[in-house]
Amino acid sequence: MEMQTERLREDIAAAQAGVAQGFESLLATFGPRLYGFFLKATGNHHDAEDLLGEISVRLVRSIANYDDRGRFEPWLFRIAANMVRDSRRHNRCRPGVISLSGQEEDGEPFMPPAPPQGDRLEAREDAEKLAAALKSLDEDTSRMIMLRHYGQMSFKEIAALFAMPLGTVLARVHRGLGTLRRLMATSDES
Amino acid sequence: MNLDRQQYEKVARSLDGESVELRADEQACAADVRRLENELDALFDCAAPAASMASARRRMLDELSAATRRRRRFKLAARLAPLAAAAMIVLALGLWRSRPPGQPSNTPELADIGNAAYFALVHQTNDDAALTVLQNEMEIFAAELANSSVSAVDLHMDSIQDQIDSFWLDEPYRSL
Repeated sequence: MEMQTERLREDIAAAQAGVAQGFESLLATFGPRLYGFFLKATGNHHDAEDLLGEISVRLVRSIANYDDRGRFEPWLFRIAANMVRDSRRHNRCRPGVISLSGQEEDGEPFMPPAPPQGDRLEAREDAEKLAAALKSLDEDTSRMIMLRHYGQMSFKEIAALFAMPLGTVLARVHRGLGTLRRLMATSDES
Repeated sequence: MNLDRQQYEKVARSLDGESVELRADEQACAADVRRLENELDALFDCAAPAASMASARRRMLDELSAATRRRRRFKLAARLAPLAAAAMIVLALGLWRSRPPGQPSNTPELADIGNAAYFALVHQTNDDAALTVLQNEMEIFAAELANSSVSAVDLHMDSIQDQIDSFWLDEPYRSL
């Protein structure tokens, strides 16, 4: 774990010095989780892919502003959360675009990139159930839960990001997690 | 498990790693949040398609190249700033030379002024003494120019341009 932290620090320093390898390493480390966050938040592979590309560009532009205090993930996922929020606003302003409700822009449901098999099929089904369950939560609660998982953010950091009292954030996350658990169990039974 | 907002705040601080003394119902809440998060953790994980990662990598490296080019341009502009200042001095020299013949010549020798400009430029204007000399010379030039004939200046614009060109192409400055 210490090695990982040290390596992360080196990658950040390299990226801040403008070294391509530093950026590539950061993308390799956080790219899959960022993609997962974007996919769960938008419910759409194309939106998630586009946002992953966009945050890679923003990483290059803003890495110089990152003050290394060992909180790189929350910093990165705060940017990601803001991008999702902006993307939702932008899409709401575009008539006819319904991709954030789990449909492609042409109205077809989202198709996964590759056909999964065996364990992967089960994992995909679980992921789809979870995505559906997350949609049943209100937008903020859903994002708070995702930031806890993908961004490893503390409740205090989430409270600051959403400008909400700390107690309210935990109450919502707790209630949301309970709802998710219940929905997943109901889905398994059916 | 009905906690009020203040109790939730205590639990949140505890879950964030702060040392907080929790009552029994608050401890139960903290344990429940931990259990639910652990249960759902595995479901959140998903692999990013290779094509999405490759596309993000391409965009990132393109942006990095663009940023590197922008930085180079900025550095070049910063290095050219002293040269631009020197070009202004040469322009002033040219204007001074272009004054109509027969006017009094009580100004400093051109060679001295050229040397001061060259000295300040080569030393990237870090030398205070050189800067002072240069500033004095510029003030004298400014006074001279104020008294010079505008029509005479117009007549000698080509020669002024030549002066600037030769200054920029002069060997010591090409290496900067």
